[in-house]
Amino acid sequence: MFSAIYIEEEVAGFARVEALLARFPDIPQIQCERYGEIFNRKAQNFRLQKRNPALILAKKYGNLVLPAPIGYGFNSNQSYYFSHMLNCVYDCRYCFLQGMYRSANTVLFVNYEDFVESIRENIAVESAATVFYSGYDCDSLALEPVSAFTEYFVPFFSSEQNAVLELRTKSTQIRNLLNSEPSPNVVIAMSFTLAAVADKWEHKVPSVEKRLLALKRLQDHGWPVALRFEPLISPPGATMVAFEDFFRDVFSRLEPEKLHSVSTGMFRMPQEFYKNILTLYPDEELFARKISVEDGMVYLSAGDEAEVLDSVKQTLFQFISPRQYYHCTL
Amino acid sequence: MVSGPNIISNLSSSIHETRVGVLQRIMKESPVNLVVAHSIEAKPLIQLFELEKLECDAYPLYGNDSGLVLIVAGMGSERTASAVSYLGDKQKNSRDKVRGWLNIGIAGHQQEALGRGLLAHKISSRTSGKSFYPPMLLKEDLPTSAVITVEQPELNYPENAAYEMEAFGFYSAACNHSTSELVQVYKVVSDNPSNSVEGINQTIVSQWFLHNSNDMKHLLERLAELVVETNLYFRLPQEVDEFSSRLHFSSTQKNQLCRLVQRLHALGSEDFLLALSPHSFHDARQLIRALEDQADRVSENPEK
Repeated sequence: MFSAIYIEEEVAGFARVEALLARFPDIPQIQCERYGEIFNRKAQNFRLQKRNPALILAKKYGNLVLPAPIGYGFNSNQSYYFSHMLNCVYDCRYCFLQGMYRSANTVLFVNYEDFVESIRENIAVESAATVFYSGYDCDSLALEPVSAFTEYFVPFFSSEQNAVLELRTKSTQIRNLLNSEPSPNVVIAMSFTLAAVADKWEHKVPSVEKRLLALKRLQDHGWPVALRFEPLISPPGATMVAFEDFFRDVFSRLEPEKLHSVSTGMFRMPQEFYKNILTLYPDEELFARKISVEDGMVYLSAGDEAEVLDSVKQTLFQFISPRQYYHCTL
Repeated sequence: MVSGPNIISNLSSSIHETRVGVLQRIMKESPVNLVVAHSIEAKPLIQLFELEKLECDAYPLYGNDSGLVLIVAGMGSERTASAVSYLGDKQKNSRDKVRGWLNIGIAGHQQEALGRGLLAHKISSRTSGKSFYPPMLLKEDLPTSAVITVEQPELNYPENAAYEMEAFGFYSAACNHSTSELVQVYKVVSDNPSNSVEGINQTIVSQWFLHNSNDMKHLLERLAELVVETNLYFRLPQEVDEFSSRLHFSSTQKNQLCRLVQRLHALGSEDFLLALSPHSFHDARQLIRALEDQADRVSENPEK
């Protein structure tokens, strides 16, 4: 599963760490002082490392919970995000993480108690219900059997009156959620692209079909579920009909009126990340496409973006109510 | 004797050759540098990989036609770093962007038996206290160990690690010439608390290396595969050389040309490139504009 497991000296004795290491006796377990010795080092190649990444167990200090940028989520009040992991076990070619980090290894911050403490402090200063997003720098559920993330965090949010957790994911690791009492405070938001896009660019990711089945099971179990259609990328030669067919299929599998929210987002990333990715994948068709740059952000130039988005929205509104919809502008 | 320039694989690829064809052909190459401290370690490797002496005044240097090179660096971390820098600089103008680097040598170990081969998963300098962590992309089923580089032979083996005198200098210098995934260290246990360094001689080292020869060959092959694949991704298409030789490009224009030719390949416009004659253009700017127009056109309308 991992090429190696690196363990920061400070977390070596954590019960959570010992339990995790006991599951992988055959993988080299290597002590390090700080995760940055491995993760932030120069002379690393993300593309090569992605073939066989390692797991790094570390302790997160400071900035455990950060304000979510405006335009990120479904709530217009002040919201927050936190990352118990850095990097993703999946390998989506369009993902900005490839350009953000030097290393393809996954860092798992195991001091969950400190995260919860910080979340509690933020809840305390907010007057309205506060949303906490997980899954910005990682996939919230993909490493669930190893991280036991939901086992720890879901009961906490379930017991909070004034906080909502969004678990952003493409994973079908939902066993713990199906074994738990659903909570209105925990939203499972599944990301989708067209199946042709997923087949081409979402490596190691459960198929669209499997994701839909997982989401259906969660919805049937009573969990609030959400759909995230992003990035909206067209496969070569595709037209709006492809999106219409896709949405029709998705909404026929779920109960649209019960969906917590549905969002869209375009392909976009900071120019610096894009440049880094170009050096990793000069041979990739996606990055050979025409781009536009606006305020330091790179977008794919596929005709009139506003027109495409408007068509997508109108198609979505055949199935859901506009109040369930938002467009992620970050 | 193999002539100096041949130590770097010189791969000529036809403009008409497919990417798969290129891959199949260059997969037989071994663009890897072996670095050893002493002739006692070099001798069995020279036999194993059928290397021949190369012309070099600075260091004993060996190589073969597949591109494998072995340098005998001398003992100690600094000497090893110097030898790596020397070889890396010498190979700088290679068509291939990167080469693999593999340090093979003997080491003492607190717990492991004599002759046991170990891939380094952590390399620490006792002097500086700093460490490197070679990515474990190649570990396969090889046993791994921490390696501690010391300035004097360590006879007390205080930690569960391999003790030797080169790996840290090697790793530090080799990472200036390659990416860390392609830099690895493999040690064969030569002494431990029950068997002192006194017992080390050419015969026994050759036996230990022979005993581990399959693992060494496998490690080298896997490393070579990764290097070849890496260079294939980043190799500039042949058209860049073609166009550059016919028209004058400024440094900025050369970068634009490289990226545009890469883009057109990625977009599947090889036929357009093949049909393009640099003679039809007055200057580099005109050619770049034509390439850009085509790339944007294909990108926005991929079926045409």
